[in-house]
Amino acid sequence: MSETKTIKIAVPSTSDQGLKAKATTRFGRCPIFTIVSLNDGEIETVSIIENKASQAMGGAGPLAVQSIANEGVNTIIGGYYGPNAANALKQANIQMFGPLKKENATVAELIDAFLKNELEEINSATSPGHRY
Amino acid sequence: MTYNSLKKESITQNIANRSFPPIIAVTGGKGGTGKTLVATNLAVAFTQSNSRVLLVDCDVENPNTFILLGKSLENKLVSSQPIDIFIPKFNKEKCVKCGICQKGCYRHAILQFPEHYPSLMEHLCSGCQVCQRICPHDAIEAGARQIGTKYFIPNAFENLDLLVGELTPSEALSAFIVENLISQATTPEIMNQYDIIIIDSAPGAHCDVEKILNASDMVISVTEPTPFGEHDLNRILELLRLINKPSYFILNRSNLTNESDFLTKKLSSDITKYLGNIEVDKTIMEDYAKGKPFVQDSRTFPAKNQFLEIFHKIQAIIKPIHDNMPSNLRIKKAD
Repeated sequence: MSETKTIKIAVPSTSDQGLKAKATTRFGRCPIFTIVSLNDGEIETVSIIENKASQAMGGAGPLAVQSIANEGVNTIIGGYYGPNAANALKQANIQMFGPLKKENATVAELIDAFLKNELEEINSATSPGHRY
Repeated sequence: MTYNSLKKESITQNIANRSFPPIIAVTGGKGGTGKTLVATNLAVAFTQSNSRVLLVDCDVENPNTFILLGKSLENKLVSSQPIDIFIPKFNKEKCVKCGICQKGCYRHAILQFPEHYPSLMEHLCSGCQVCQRICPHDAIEAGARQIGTKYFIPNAFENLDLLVGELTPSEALSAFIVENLISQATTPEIMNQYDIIIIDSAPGAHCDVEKILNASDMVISVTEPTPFGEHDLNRILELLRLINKPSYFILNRSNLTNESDFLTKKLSSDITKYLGNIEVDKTIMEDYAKGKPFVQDSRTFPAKNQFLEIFHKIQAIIKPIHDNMPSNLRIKKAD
């Protein structure tokens, strides 16, 4: 990566083990977001936030987007994004990247694939979504 | 408390709480039992006994009363009006991007990203107006989003006006449409024009139906002698118990099975009384397919007589409400 600006990536994860945590393709209702800051292609910081939207009655996608946007995230590496989530991610100027075609990938493996430009950028919803 | 005292109490409560005329709800739980058939023919039967009737079609997902009365919504005499819900409109001159509306939205329909103005995911918004009430800067104005339409068909039949609500397909807030129709039908200006209001309900025992039962003086359930009819009517009866409202039931297509007598006894209780049966009848089906109320059919056939018997019982039941009507609210019969 040749960009000099800080890239702040959120990865939907199944646990709070940071880079070792397993990533999940579910966006809105994943339990944890692992947040990784990159500077000049190097991992600078790793933190986690609980995803409050995982228990939301409805509107989980937008709520999850809101909470990662509040953390200053500008990139998301997940798998599938519903229509509300994709819409909200676009409004928040958060770039979406597609799933790593490998089962049980860890956050570290996803970040690695991202740095090697192996992930596809996604521009619209990739799952049908759940209304209400 | 006995059935009669309950009934008297609910009627007196209604008399005390609002003006007239009596409101009859036609419901039943199961789909396709003949609710709309009974509601439309009841409405026409009342007009034949010289009453001014308002029929309100609250089956907003599939309103059919106008079809059974042989009418169209496209006619130029029909007036239509959109039914809108509130949505927030953010006034950028007043908004300070504080994010309070975003945090307060229980549907998570409002987004507000750092340094950005709030934005709305319209389809998630339920129109609750909480955002507008909690905005400390008075920066949220009322916008509108259409979720349905209501149609008013004057003189659908002589002495019969029809109010129909229709939910836009894919929209979720059907109860909002029902509420809108009921509040329009129960305004004094509207009520004073009629001797009786009949509400046709959707199948099911959900909140749309509950709102209708709550608003009515008399509940008539239409069911059929099948396990489905019995099961779904029992759900309506559960609902009626919750809101403490006694009711009546009609067994339609009563000779479809041999269960009619058995079911009549089994279903009758303190919460519901048997009003009568209507047999399967080819003439009714012919009229139904043509969009013509069978009570207007000049032929005589058993099912019509059965229906008229039921109608006379209903007239007798609502008579006390009419008799209690303040005289200044009574309708002056047309010459």
